[in-house]
Amino acid sequence: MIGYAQANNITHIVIGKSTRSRWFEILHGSVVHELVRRAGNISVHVIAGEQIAGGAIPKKTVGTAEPSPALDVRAYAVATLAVAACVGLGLALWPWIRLENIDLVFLAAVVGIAVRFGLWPSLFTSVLSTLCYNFFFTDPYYTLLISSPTDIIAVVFFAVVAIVVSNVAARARVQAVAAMARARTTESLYTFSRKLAGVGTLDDVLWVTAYQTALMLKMRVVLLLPEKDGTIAVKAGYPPEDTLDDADLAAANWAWENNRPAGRGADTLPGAHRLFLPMRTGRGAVGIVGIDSDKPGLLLTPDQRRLLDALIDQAALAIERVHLVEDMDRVRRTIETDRLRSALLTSISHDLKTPLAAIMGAAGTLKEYGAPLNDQAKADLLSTVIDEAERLNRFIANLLDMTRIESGAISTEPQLGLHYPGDIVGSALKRARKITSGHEIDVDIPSDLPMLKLDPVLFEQALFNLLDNAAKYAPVGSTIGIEGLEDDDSVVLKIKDEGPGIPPEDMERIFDTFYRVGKKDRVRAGTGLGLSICKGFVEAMGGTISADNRKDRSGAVFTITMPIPTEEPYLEEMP
Amino acid sequence: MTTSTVKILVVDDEPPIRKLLRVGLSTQDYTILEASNAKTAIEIVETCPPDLILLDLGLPDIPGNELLRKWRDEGMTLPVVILSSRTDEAGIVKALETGADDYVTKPFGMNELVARIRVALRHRLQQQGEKPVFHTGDLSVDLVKRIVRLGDKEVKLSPKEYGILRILVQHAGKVLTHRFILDQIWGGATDVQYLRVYVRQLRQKIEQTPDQPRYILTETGVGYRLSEPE
Repeated sequence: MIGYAQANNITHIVIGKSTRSRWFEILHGSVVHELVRRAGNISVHVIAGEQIAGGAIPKKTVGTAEPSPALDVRAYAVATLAVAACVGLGLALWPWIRLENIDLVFLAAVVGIAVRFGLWPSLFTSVLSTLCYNFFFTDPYYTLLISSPTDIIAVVFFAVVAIVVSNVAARARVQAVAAMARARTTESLYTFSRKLAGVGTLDDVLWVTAYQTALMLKMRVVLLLPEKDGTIAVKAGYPPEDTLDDADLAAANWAWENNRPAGRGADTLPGAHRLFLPMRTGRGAVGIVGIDSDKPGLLLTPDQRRLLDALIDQAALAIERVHLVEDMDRVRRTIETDRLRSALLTSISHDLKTPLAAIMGAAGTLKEYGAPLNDQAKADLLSTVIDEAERLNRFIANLLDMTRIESGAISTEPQLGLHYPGDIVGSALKRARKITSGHEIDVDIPSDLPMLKLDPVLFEQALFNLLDNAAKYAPVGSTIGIEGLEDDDSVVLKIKDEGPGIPPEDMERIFDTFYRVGKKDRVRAGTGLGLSICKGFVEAMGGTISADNRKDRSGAVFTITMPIPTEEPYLEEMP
Repeated sequence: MTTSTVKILVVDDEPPIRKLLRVGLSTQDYTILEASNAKTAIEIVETCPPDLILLDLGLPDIPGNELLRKWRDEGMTLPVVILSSRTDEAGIVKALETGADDYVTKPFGMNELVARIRVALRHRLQQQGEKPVFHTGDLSVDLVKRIVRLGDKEVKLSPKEYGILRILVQHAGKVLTHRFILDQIWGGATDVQYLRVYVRQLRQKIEQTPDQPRYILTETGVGYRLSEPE
């Protein structure tokens, strides 16, 4: 009791006055007196013991000692049987062997029991063997009396030897058991570290840690990690746990802020249900682990505590590793973003300023010098204003689309529904009518192509960008072909032009943001956005896009492949 | 200024857009009233009701959609044409379902806007007085005898196909949302993909090139529109 009180920093003990008889007290001593004598700086309050109606107050006790292993009835039964067997064997061999040799039979049993069951059963075996030896094999037989002095010496020596052998064999067993336990611990730690090494995400690391710790200690485990705002919150638990009560949260916070254990069984806030320990690495605490169990009494034996320390050290390292990988990713992304940003600025300054210059020039000319111009010249200037404004509009739309892809909005946003590819091709052609007005359009889409799961707005934009691209690179008067075909479990759309094709050295990077193919003066340069938007949109809808050159003649061909959805609408079942 | 000219209220917070609409629409003999926010727009509608409202969805004080809902809840029946940005299909559909008559996306051509305004005004003026036979291009639809002709050839349509065509004809030139058509034909309890299947069948029967339709136009992400008679 004192030990428990000291271990748990208890300052007051309340104990009920004994109602036992004085005789009992004289014989066994008084718990109260003993407690007061040994309490040291702990205040002891003794209250009158009252008879309480049974069951009025639920019994709630805290065990203060480790529960000793239950009396192993089986061990003693086996020991008794072994001795009985020895007696049988001894009696069977009696006519042929001498008394001293009977010893060996019994000693074999003692050693066997010691190795198998430990000290106390083997001592029991020793005593029982001595008695049986005396009873059955020393003269006078079938009594516990001994007549011959040599027999007395034999029995005494036998007893001494049996007890010594018990001790030695039992100690060897204890060591073997401890070694086995150590091997098991090492093995499970190794398994644990291997599992941790195998997982990449923080969630997995936390889950493995919580699960393994709970499994190995047979306790409930929660893991708390710091949030962005500096507070800590439950991130994993086994069995799963989302929230802590106030006392536990306070203890966890204290443990986090002070980088020391808190809660049940610790120096601070021992009123909490759980014990919270910081998970530390060389660079400081990375999180808090909280454990509790329904088992009353000491939460952790020293062995378990050592195991837990080893586990959380490994977990802390794994968490830190994940954090470091995330940091590296972030740095890499920042560099990539910076590169994109500078490319964007270059692109914007060029792509916005060129059409703006044309618009301002044309409008200015009309305003300042409009009078002397003939109608044809005026109409030309007005067309320039409109065309360049439309180009500007497309560019801005592309920038917006790009932002949607880059910000990841696309990945969650597609409004997927079943659509006929031909319908969307039609809409895209209608929208692209003006920019493709200088080209022949050859559409070959079989009317029996199945419906595809896609977002019509995104898909139309992807097709529009491909048409825009083809119109830009293929000479005026050439044909832009759109071809659809069903191929196994997917629908393939090909957009072909009769331009110069894609230079092999550009093939790899043609879908990269801000990458443009051979910017020659006679070809109106693209923005370097259109194709990368295509790719972003098509992939967001579960399709793929690839670029190649035509085999039959010069020209580029872009291929969009969309999977055919497994559940097709059945016309027969239509309402 | 005569009282017989059509009055259009432009609700937009951007002065250049209001200026453009004032100049552009004046050429079509419309009288333009202007409001730069929802509050002014509400006052104008109460004190000097226009014949049609051009409403920008992105107003500074009250979102255009909420203003429209308020008006429709109060029983205001004036035609409303929405001015919207291209990337906002969901907002357009919401506005149409709230009771907007049509929409144009910024930047828009003046001819497109004028066409939308005309259709919206016409449907308000003659909601019941539809002509019994509708013509656009080679297509003619006799709503009384339920006969559809392409040139002089009669086209056989299933009841559902005819139903869709009839609704499109009744609202010729006007955008109809998928939801609206589904509600009218199926009572709403049907997935939009069935509508696409039927529209495709319909196009295969009445369009020369079904993938590049002349009559039943797709408004991507919004709905369908029957092209107006030229």
